[in-house]
Formats: sequence, structure tokens, C-alpha cells
Amino acid sequence: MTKISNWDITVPYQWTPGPVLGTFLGGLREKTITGVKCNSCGKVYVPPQDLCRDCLEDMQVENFVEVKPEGTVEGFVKIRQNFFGERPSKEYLSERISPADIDQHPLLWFPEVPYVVAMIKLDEADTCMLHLVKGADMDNLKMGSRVRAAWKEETIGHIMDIDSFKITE
Amino acid sequence: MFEPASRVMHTWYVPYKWSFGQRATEFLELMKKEQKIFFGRCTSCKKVMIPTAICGKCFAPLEDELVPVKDEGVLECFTVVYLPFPTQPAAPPYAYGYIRLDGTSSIMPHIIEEVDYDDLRVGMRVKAVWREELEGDIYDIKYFKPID
Repeated sequence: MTKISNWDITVPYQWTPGPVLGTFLGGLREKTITGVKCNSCGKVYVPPQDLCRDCLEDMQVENFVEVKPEGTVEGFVKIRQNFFGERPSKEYLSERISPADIDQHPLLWFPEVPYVVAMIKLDEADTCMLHLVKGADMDNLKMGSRVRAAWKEETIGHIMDIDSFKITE
Repeated sequence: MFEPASRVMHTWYVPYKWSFGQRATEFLELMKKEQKIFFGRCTSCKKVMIPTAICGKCFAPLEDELVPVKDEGVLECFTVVYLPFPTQPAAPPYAYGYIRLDGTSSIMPHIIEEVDYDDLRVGMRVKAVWREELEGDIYDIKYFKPID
């Protein structure tokens, strides 16, 4: 029998979201969901993107609109398997990335399996956003379920400032 | 409208398993059992080297039995690491060097400690400092330290 060892490649990095996505994330920090409206066709993108995919029009930061954190489930999937083999513990990660960054670490935000990822179309948006749906009444989750954003207590300007969406009816 | 977020943090995390293979397994198991470093001898050139499947120069297999070598040698080169990076063997600052153990033909990389980093010299004699409880990994040798 040859010896087997466990290793990992852990590469911390940061990326710059730019003015459009950055403004959306800045809004989340204030517990507000925003979208961007296309100058040409009027479509509202949540989450916002740099170009209108229909008109290829550049989106403008001036055209940001606040949207209500309520919407409809347009599709969902139940995740039963961890992506990372094992979820890393906080202790494990803290040996590998800087302690100052640990609480902002997205890997720690993944819920225990099983969890539900859904395409959610907010009422005032024309596009869907991807997020978690959590709650006690998950058996009632179906296409068209009404959901509402639940915020984390502390927000940092990240998509996971929305803890998840909860089923409202 | 809102102060834009200037950065998004993320981390790639890719866990994997790695097999040491037959020779490195023997190396580590013998090290744990005997508290000695065991190298392999090439069946062709008879040079003694870190155990691998074949000799890097002759491509001939190494002898079946590994041979014990002294845990002392000469520092062939070194660097002092002050900056942190992933997969580091120690917390910086630390010195890392290539050590040619006496009577062997391949270098062994390891940490050098118990030395003022300014006093490190190529050619200085170093000796292994062993861990109190051997566990069968390369850090059974805690580090090498200068002697005489």
C-alpha cells in the first residue's frame, strides 16, 4: 500500500466588479436590490449587466432603479452533493487565507446539503437572478412560488448579503 | 445611486489526494521506524539518491533495498523567505535550502533553522533535527541546523 496524502490548492483572489455590477453590490450593502434599465428598450436587468443583451446598448449607472425584493420562482434545483468533496471548516480555511478575510469567505456561506438554488424573477425585473431558497416550508416550493429576500445582519457588498429568499405564499 | 463596491473576494479551493508511490512510501515508513534517512542506489551507476522509481541519469531501476544514509551533509544553496504564499512549509521568515547528504548524489530540500540567516553560507555543514514523535512524513525531520 502506498501512502496517500490529502492536499489542496487554495488560491485567494479579488476581482473588481466595475461601475455597473459594483453599484448593484453597493446597493446590497445598503440592503437594497437594484436593477439597471436599458436606455433603448427599457428592459430592467437584475442583476445588472454592462450591455443590454437585446440592443447591445451600454448600460448607464444613471439608469439604476430600485426594485422590490419580492418575486417569483421560475426554476429551481435541489443540491444534494457538496461541490468541494468536503466543505472546508473555518479552522481549516483560516490556516490558508488571511484571518481578516475569513468572514468574507464565500465557501463558508454555502449551506449544508441539501439546499435549493433557484432562478428568481423579481416583480419589477425582466430577468432572473440566481439565489438560494431556504425555509421550513421547502416541500411547498414549486414553479411560481412567491419569495422574498431575507438579508444578512451584516452586509459587505456581496451577492450573499442576501442570505436567501424565503417562500411567502 | 450607491457607492459601488470596489472588490469581490473569492478563493479557489481544490482539494485532492496524492499518492506517494512505492519508493517514497518506503522512504517515509523506514524513516519513521528507524529515525534514519533511507536513499536508493542505482543498479547501474551505483550512485545513492532520493528514492524514486529509476535513476534520473541512467534510467536504470534503483536497488530493491533502500540504504541508510547519514543525516548530515552540506548546504548546496539556500534562500530566506520573508513573504507569505500558499503551500508554504513554515511561517515566514524561514530559510530553505538544498542539502547534499554525505555520500549521496541528489539534493534534499528542507528548512534550515537554529542559525542567524546572515551566517548562512553555501558549503556549510548541516545536520537533521528530528521530531520527538515520528509520524512518517517529511517533517519527521523538523529542520536542518548548522554544525561545527
